[in-house]
Amino acid sequence: MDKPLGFRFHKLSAVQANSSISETCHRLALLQKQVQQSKEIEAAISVAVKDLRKAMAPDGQPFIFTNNIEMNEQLVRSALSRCDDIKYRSFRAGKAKALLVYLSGLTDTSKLEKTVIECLTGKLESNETFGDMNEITDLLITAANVTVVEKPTEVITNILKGNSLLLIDGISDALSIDAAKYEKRQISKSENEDVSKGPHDAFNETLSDNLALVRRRTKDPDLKVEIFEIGSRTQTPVALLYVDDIVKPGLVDEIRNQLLSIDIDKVIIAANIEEFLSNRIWNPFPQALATERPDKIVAGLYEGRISIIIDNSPSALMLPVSLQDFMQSVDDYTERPAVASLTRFSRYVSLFIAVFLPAIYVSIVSYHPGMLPAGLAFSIAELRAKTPFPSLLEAFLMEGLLEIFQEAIVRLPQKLAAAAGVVGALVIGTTVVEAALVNALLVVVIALTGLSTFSMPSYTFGMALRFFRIPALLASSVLGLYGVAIFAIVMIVFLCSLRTYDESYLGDLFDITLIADWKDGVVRLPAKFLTSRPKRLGPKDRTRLGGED
Amino acid sequence: MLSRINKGNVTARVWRIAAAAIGICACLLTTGCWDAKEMQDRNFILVAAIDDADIVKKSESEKQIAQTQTFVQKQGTKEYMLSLQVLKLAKTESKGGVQAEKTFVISNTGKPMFEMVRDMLGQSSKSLYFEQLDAIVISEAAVKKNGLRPIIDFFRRDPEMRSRTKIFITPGEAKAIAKYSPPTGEPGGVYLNGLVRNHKKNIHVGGARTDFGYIIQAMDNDADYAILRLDYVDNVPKLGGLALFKHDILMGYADEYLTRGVKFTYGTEKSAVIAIKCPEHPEQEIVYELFQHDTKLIPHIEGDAIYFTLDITMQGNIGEIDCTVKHDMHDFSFLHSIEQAVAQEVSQNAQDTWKFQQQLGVDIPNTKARFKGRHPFEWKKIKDRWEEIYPTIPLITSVNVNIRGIGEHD
Amino acid sequence: MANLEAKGKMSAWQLGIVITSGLLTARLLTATSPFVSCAQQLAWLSSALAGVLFYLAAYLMIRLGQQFPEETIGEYIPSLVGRKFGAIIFLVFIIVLLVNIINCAAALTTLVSIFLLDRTPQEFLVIVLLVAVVYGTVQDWRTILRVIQILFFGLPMLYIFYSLIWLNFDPLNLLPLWPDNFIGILQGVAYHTNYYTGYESLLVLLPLANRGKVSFTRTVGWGFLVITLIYVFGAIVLVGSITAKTIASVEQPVIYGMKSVELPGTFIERLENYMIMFFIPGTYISMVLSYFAIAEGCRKSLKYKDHRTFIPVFLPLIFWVSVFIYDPQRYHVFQNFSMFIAFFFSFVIIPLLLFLVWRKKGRDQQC
Repeated sequence: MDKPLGFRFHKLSAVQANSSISETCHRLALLQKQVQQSKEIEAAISVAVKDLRKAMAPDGQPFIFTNNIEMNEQLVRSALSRCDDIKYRSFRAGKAKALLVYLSGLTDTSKLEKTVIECLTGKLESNETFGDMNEITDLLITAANVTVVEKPTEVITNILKGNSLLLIDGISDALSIDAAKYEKRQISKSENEDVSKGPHDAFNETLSDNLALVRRRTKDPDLKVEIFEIGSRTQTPVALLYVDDIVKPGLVDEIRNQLLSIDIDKVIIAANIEEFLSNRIWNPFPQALATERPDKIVAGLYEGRISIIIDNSPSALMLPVSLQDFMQSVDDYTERPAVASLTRFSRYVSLFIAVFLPAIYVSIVSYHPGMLPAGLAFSIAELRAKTPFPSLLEAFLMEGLLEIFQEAIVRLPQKLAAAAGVVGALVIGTTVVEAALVNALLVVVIALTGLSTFSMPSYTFGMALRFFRIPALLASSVLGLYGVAIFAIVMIVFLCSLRTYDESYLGDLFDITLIADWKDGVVRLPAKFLTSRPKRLGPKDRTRLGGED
Repeated sequence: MLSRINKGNVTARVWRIAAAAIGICACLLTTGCWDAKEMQDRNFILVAAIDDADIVKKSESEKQIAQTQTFVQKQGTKEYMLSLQVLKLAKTESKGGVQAEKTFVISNTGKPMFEMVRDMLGQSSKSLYFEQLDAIVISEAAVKKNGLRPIIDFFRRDPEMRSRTKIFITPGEAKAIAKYSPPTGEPGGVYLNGLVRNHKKNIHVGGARTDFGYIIQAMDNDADYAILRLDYVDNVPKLGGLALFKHDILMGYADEYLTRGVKFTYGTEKSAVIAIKCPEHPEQEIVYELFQHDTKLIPHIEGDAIYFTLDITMQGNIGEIDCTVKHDMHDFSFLHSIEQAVAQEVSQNAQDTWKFQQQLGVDIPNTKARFKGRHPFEWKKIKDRWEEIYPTIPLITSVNVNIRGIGEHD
Repeated sequence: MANLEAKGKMSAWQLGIVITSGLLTARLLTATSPFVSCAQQLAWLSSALAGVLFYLAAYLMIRLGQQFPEETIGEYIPSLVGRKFGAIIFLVFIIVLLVNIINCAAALTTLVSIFLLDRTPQEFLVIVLLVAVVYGTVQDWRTILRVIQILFFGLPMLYIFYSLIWLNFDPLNLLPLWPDNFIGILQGVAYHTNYYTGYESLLVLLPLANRGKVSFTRTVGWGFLVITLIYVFGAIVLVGSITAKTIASVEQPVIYGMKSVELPGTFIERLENYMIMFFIPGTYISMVLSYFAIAEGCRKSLKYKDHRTFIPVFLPLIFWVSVFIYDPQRYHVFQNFSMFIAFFFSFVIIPLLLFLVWRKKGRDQQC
């Protein structure tokens, strides 16, 4: 301290050797690098450990269970590392240690308490031991559904399904206890397919509930349900339903093979599977009927079709299917036959209008105005004299407006939907005409087209019709009515060339060898006449009404 | 070439698909639309009026024909004047209560109709569209020049024309009829078309076999035909009578009385009115309203004599009784006498018409075809002399009239 | 898989429908005028005789085909007449069908060009039609069969519209009933090759049909009967409403007849446009059938796997000839050639082949 007290600025590191910032930074960087390296080493070690375990385990399994419960717990924890919703409950079962592993949120913990923990902790002497898992399941566990599993992949999957895992020290088997309980949507009305007079319950997202809805409608032991798991990561349960003595032989095998050969990682919605079951991928028409109604599924099953229900999807698929099935509604069978026949026939007329009306309008206005009666021709010409666009362009404009409006309605929240209806009516209807952008007749044409599309019982099918409206418009704008006729023929050829599982997409429409099936095609004859199943699906048992058993 | 492209060569495949797509789009955008013409870009022609150009020239207020109505041509003469009534699309405001006109007229002179029409495109902002042609009006003077065939050949040949267009002959000027704007507010052509539609109730107007299609058919079959006569006096058009043609030459007119006779022979009216003198009071009139009518015109041969029989059966009501004295309608003998009087009137009418046609040499009921149809062998023998034989053929009429009702209130 | 296989063959009634729907095409429109100018007011008698005659030809073809079940004409001809002549006869067969396709294309596009789209180049119309025909022909037989059964319903629609001509019917135009020109009636029969077109494809389609309880001759016979009745009544009403002389001077009399119908107070005008629309399905079916018969016949006789290989082979020829014959003189020559070759094939070659079969059978029985 012989330095004078002067005001001089020095670096701290000149006084204290190890407080240099640069060195601190340097050391910090080293530290970070070391942490990073240790993480990498940890990952490498866990991989190596996995591989080591795999080396011991059979093919396809990540590890093998041992007799030591601590080792087993370690193995399970490392397989399900960083999954904090997996709970581990250890207790004692007699002399041995026991471990219960379950996924909270998917497991009914009260059931576990009652059927497993209570049974094993309360009733046993403190020095009892077990040799085999079967002793425990036969005598002690009161749960309704237990499975002894050996393969660790099954164990892990079971835990993730909501079943719980019971490990006992000294036994290398694991016990899977079915105690799944999860929140699900109640059975409610169908969102998209509600009818006026039929049943209102619809499928929800739970496979077991959906199967229950189907089983409730038929007590037929020939209704077979096969469940597969599809999706290498999601392992989604998929149920295949058919009535064994009705369905065409060979059809079930073919569909089953196709399902089992699906090799994707996830199955989230029914459409994921539907695409694999169609043979023409660019075809806009749906080749499987997706429905939320159990009554439709049961009716289809009893015609000789096959149904596929997918877990977590309220839409069930029905195959093979034809154009007529998309044009049928439950209302046809709940109303009187005469009325129903008229409604059905009008649906076919709507089908034609939905695709061809704008095209016919463009071709008549631009190419063949002589086909209109004189008064109408003059009034339309007067209306069109005020609007600037050629007919094709204004048809496209209105078509585009209609499409945008349809999309907007689907996306809007409930509260705004009513307002959107008013806006749509004003914008598309009145204002566009008053602004002299299009003439009033075209608005009527487009409105009629839109209504016809919406009147299709199946939404997907209506969308496919929208797809064909544009080429029809283009054909009519290039060649008038001749273009429309040629396009109609090409469309008919296209429809005839579609085939699902060797069934023509048009079903029995216009096939005179299947004339017996016309009773339920374009018209619906009374039930007294519908005595046999449709011939085209090749059912083994054709009698439906009366006849021998 | 297809197999040469390597499957692994994705870029080439993508280019090929893109090129095909561009090609197709280019085709769609550049092709087609040769025939696309918006409705409002067409000028609808409703009436075609053909006049004799010389007469019109004289009556036009200008000293010479306007330049817009003629064109220079190397061949052909300026014989006809073609006026076309065009529909106006834009709604014009009516001024001071006067009905706005829905049409306007453009004219041209020349001889081939097609040339005149194409030259008139110089006066028209849109292409002329004949598919809604309602009426063809031809003036008597125009027909007298070269006959009917040169005038209507263009309308016959063009596939755009309709078969059921109405055709009229007018003694006066056809252009004035084209300019006529009816008080109902509808376009002139539609009005003229509508005038003929009442022919089934108006016995003075022949409308069953007198439109364009039938005229052409008669021309092809070398038969004689009748065309409606349209008079236009003081801005009022009126239909009545027939113009009779033989070998495309106008032979004469049949007035309303003779037209009635023609219609009785053909049996084409649905409801006609026949006025007769009251049997008991010859100075008063009784009107018989016909609602059902069957006619048979049959040729017969007896030896060397040819004659035609006309059997008419009529059902009708009493339409109007103008007598000052009330008659007893339940007096069947009186009704019978009315029937007889009507039958006599009809028979006389038919005979007068028959004789008139024979004098004129015109054969509207197509007796030639009837004779040929019934007696083909005899026809072969006399077909060269038919023109001499026809004026000598008598008509034997037998008319049977029934009164079905006497009206609501006697 | 028993059920799936049973659908491979069509039934006898389906064969009847197939052949019937191929008969009525747009070719008859241009042929009406010459045939009525020969036969005059007895055109209906001409049509009836022609129906019987062409059914006879079809009947002979069915009998010939039944001698060789499962074989098409290209396969059994060499066994009857040797390879060289067999190839020539097969070539004639192909030419007959090609001529049908070309005539159909030319007739339909001429019709459309005159009445619907007069400024569009006819080449473009032909291309569009051929694209649609090729798209139809590349499908397999079951698809084509279904298409035919659907488009067959164009036929009654056509006749419903056509029957409106009865509104202008005048029985006087049909008199005299006594024919004074028998030669004319027989000449009219010759023009009916345009009325009964495409039945030659029977020779290839017979193996595709299932022999059941109903015989093919019966079903095809019913088809011919229906078509003949349509033509007979059609001739009666057409001559009755617009007279034989008018028909003789009009290019397309059937369309002209439709023009003469007016339905006041209804929405429908220009009925001829509707009628042209309904001619398109019938013509399309005939073209697809003939083209398919060519492709399938070639495939079977040359032992290929796929009939689609032969479709591009004939396409340029069809297009070029369809466009080439637009000139009236060339068209006339081509029409004469078509009639000649159709008659030659149906009434000379087929009976000759049947005779050879009969003789061979006789010899075989003797052995």
